[in-house]
Amino acid sequence: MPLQKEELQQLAALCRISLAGEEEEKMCAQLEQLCLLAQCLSEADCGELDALADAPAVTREDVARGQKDKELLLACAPERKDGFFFVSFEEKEGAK
Amino acid sequence: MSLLKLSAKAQARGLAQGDFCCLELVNAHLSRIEETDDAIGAYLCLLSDAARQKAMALDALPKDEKYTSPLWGVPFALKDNICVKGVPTTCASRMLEHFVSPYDATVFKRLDHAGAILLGKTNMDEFGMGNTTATSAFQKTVNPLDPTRVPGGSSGGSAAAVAALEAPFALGSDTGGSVRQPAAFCGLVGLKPTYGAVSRYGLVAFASSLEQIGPLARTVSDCETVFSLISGRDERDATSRDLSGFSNPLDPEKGVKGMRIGLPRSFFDMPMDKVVKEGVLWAAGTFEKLGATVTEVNMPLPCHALAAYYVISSAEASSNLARFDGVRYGHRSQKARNMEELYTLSRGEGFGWEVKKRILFGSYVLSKGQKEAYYQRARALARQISEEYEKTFLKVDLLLCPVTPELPFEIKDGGTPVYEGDLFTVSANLAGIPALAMPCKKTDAGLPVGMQLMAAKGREDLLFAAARVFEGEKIYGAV
Repeated sequence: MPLQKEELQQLAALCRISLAGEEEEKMCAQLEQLCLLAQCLSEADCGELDALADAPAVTREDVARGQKDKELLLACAPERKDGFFFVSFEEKEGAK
Repeated sequence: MSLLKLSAKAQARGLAQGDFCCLELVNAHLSRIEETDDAIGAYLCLLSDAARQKAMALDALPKDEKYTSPLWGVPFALKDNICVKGVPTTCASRMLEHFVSPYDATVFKRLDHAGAILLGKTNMDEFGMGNTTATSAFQKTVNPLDPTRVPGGSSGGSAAAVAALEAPFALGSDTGGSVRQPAAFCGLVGLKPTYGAVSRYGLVAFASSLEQIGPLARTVSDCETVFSLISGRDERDATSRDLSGFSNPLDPEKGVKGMRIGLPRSFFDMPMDKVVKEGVLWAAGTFEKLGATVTEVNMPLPCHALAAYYVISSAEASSNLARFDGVRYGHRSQKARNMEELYTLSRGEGFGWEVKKRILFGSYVLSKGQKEAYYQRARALARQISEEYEKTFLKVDLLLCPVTPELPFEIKDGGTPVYEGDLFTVSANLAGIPALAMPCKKTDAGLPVGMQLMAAKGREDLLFAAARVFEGEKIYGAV
């Protein structure tokens, strides 16, 4: 079933990805190709579908460890202020 | 040039014999990179000063503290999705263009402690999504064997660096063939280890249930040595484990005598270049002459595995890449007027086309109404494939097949990956088994034909044993 533009727009909104209007058609077509590639799954004998039910859970103990350097982590952020990640829209036109 | 042509282990031996020092070796590689990498485009980031400093520090050590590992003093390169503290890790994406890693990946730490010297970080398909290295946001990488052709991907920069003598070995990551396919295209040996054999701590995640870090080298022995140094349990990666099978109990004198090698019939029935098929079948004949038993075996259809791979890897990518929201790290849009726009514009501007496509496809196959038809069927099929491989490895020791259906192809504009190019590699990722790619033949034009050996989980020793024997025949002319 071909992917409709409205479906793509909904997907893009869910994925928090902006797409320019002219990109939508090309993306629809390319996603359609991936769907076609995946369609042979319907022909394959996949056995029992609940494949995750018997997947072993591999976990480690939830134990606090030495923390990474806070400054080093904050340094990765596009903006920071007073020891926190910082987001501001004050200077942008039409701030909500 | 003569230094550069030595294998990694031969370079280590040269250091131990006093033929040259670490600084000479590092300088030789840096000069080579300076001369050739403008044309090759293998490196995204060069760490010349740090490499020279470490080389000088190693040279200054007392003799009893030197040569502590088989790769002590040997330079290497890392794919740019493997973290090194204080060094950029971009994943070849605008999203992480200015990201500097705050910690070291376990594989880097292990090589660093073994005395290996990092030269730089290599180009790749953006976040590992592609098989040409053309989806990199920053530069093109060409195949050093023929600059009009792709080096493969996604670890194309690592492969190109090793093939162009810009590093004796490198690490890549393999989610669906990303070490093996570029190894095959560049005439190298590349290993996708058993799932869990190598820690993924510090590897930027794309599809966590499929990917492994693996070595690319010019000889089987180098590949094996790098693997032995980076593998093993790491408490920071809960999926990592020690391989009980990796003890090399094989008799080296025996070679492949008595080894049972299977040719998966369904793979050879797929469309592929004639020269690829002939090359791999010729390799099968060579193994037979060396004493192995070669038989055809029935295996799941690779096209079904390919479908399952693209569904699962995209689904996992859509989840793993949700963390890039422009708040804690990564690109932040300057046009955003509210939080919603901050997320959507930052991700829209930061991610390239192929990455956006995979995220969207991954969300689609997980969405209500599609999950059962795509994701659940893919997971179920992956489990079946894994079981089939387990059963097959009760009957044969190794499977032999092509790495790719085609030879390295010419560089085209656009950079859209050729999904069918992953046809023969994705099964090993779905089954979690080890697989090794190496050249088996050269075409008249000098292009390498790659062959792939697969073994049961934890049996990398069998892969290396067979590959060593094949390489030892000097059929291909290994370095």
